[in-house]
Amino acid sequence: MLLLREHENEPAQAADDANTNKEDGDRYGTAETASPSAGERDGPVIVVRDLVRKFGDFTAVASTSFDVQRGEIFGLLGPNGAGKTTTFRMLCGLLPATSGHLEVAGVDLRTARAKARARIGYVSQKFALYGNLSVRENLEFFAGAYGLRGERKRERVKAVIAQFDLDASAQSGILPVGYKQRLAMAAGLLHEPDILFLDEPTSGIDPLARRAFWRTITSLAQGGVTIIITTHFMEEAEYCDRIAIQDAGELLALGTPAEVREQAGDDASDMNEAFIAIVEQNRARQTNEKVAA
Amino acid sequence: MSSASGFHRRLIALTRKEVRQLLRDKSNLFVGLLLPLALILLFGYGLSFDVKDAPVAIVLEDRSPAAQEAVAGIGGSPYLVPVAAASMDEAVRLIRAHKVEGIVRVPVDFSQRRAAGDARIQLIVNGADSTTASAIEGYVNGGIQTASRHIMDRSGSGSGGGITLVQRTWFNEAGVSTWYLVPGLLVLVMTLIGAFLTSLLIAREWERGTLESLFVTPVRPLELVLSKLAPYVVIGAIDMGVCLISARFLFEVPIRGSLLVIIVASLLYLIVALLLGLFISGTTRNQFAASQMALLASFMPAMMLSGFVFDLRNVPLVIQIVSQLLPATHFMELVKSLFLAGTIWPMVLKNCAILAAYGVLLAFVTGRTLRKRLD
Repeated sequence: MLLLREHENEPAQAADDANTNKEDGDRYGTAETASPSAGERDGPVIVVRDLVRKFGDFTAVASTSFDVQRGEIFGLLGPNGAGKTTTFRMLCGLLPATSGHLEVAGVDLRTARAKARARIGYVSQKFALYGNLSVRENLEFFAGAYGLRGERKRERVKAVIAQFDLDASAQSGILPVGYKQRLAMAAGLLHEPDILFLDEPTSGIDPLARRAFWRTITSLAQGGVTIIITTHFMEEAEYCDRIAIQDAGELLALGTPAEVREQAGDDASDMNEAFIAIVEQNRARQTNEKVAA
Repeated sequence: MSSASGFHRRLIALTRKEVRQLLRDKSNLFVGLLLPLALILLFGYGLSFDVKDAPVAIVLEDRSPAAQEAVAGIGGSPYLVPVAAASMDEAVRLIRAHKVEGIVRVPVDFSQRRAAGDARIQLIVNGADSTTASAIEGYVNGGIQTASRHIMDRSGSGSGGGITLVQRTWFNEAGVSTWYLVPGLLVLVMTLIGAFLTSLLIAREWERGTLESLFVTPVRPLELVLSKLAPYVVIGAIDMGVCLISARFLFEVPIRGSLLVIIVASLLYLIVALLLGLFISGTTRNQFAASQMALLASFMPAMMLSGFVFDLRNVPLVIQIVSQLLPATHFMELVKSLFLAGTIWPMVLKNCAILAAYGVLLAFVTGRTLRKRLD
């Protein structure tokens, strides 16, 4: 499946062989180090420094820092309640940070959130669109909400309908889930954002649709769009350029899939095991610290 | 792109979407356009406190011509139907069986006492329905007064020197209840359209998650509020037209104040009611809870506490204070006086100012409910 990324015209290799994944992951590790020329030229698209979010006494995100380069596919992973959704929401400006520095598309989110919004696209978990409007009406509406008009609006609506192979007159509410996801992606890309945020975009859709989805994602990234994605499918983490693993609000691992597997230790043969190992190591350490204290 | 043109563009896109959704949603259109019509007909025709053709038993214990003449006026009234009863016992049976609403009894000594200038006629009304009872009392009294005046005029023996008590009710001379119910209906309909319909709008977007999709766009809270207001102002204006036309031509209620002032005041109240619904919607974030709240917080008080049915001067102080807090009360006062009394400027300005203040306050707090995650 990963081969799709660079050999898009080749027929997909059927089995998700763990070894293939591993090799691919390794290759991405090197590809990542080979390409920062672009990143260095533009500087990071997202800068997160000491980000903290508290809800009352509860710390949902504890002092987190990372950068995301232009054109990168960055995955946020973590068990339920780990703080990945909170981090994600802060990144796309849905939730203000308690403290820390947050810069998206060169704009400080604390001071100029509205300006940042025009540069980001967002696909929510529910693929929330207006069910009683047609596909075209939904797209026209979101184009208007993003401030497009006239010829450019018509062009963009037409372009995304073609890009995602949509039926303009279909009623949005009765579409199958995979179709809705495509429509939601189309709506999020109307204004040609620099950064696309995807919140668990592949939950509930079939493997075929997922493969098509990742094909779209990688081609977007190649076109220079930065992708921030949350997922709980660990094999999908392999398709990311870099991933961050969070648990209990803390950033436990950050790097290419290969680096993260390495950090997990010898017994982690795939990402699934690596993920579990990292989370468990951290939880065990915390318990020990509590016992010691 | 200047921010003003961005505002304009986004507002157009948002409003167009709201209109499309409104037109697609048949149940909302039904509530918006047909329910008010049903309300008008129901309240206008069904809910009437008027007495018409009320049966009244007549007991003539004195069968003299003078006695018969005295009660003749009752038969002439369009509101009363005399039912002859042979004896007081029979009349009592009739009133117990609810066959008659009242009894008029001319006692045996009527002629005798009339000669002495002290004639008496007994009236018994069924107090179970106090409104009907007092109406009948008035009509019977009127009928007998007229008759006795005729008798006095003819005999020239009027001891009062032609001085008779002239009773008159101002504004609603005929005591027709539709005259004050129908203007009040305007209040009820505006409240229903406003609060109930819009109470679903923001909650629905919360439930379906579409608001989250909007939050990442450059759309601002004020734009959202305005776009949700616009289509329902049109629906409300149509309902207002229906109310005014049916008031004037169907129920023949006089419109003594300025029609323009009525329209402006109604639009003002409509916006207040719409904003109240939006505020409830944005606060509850749940369609079911929002619609229940909207009924409880707007429609019910507007019906019970605004002076629509019950005169606010007769209610306990606490209720008076509560009712004064309701925008509906101020609009009710305004509408009734505009319909029946005329344009009294100090009162129009005072109530319009109160409504406008409510509008600004609600627009602000509704924006706040949307701002939490926006800015």
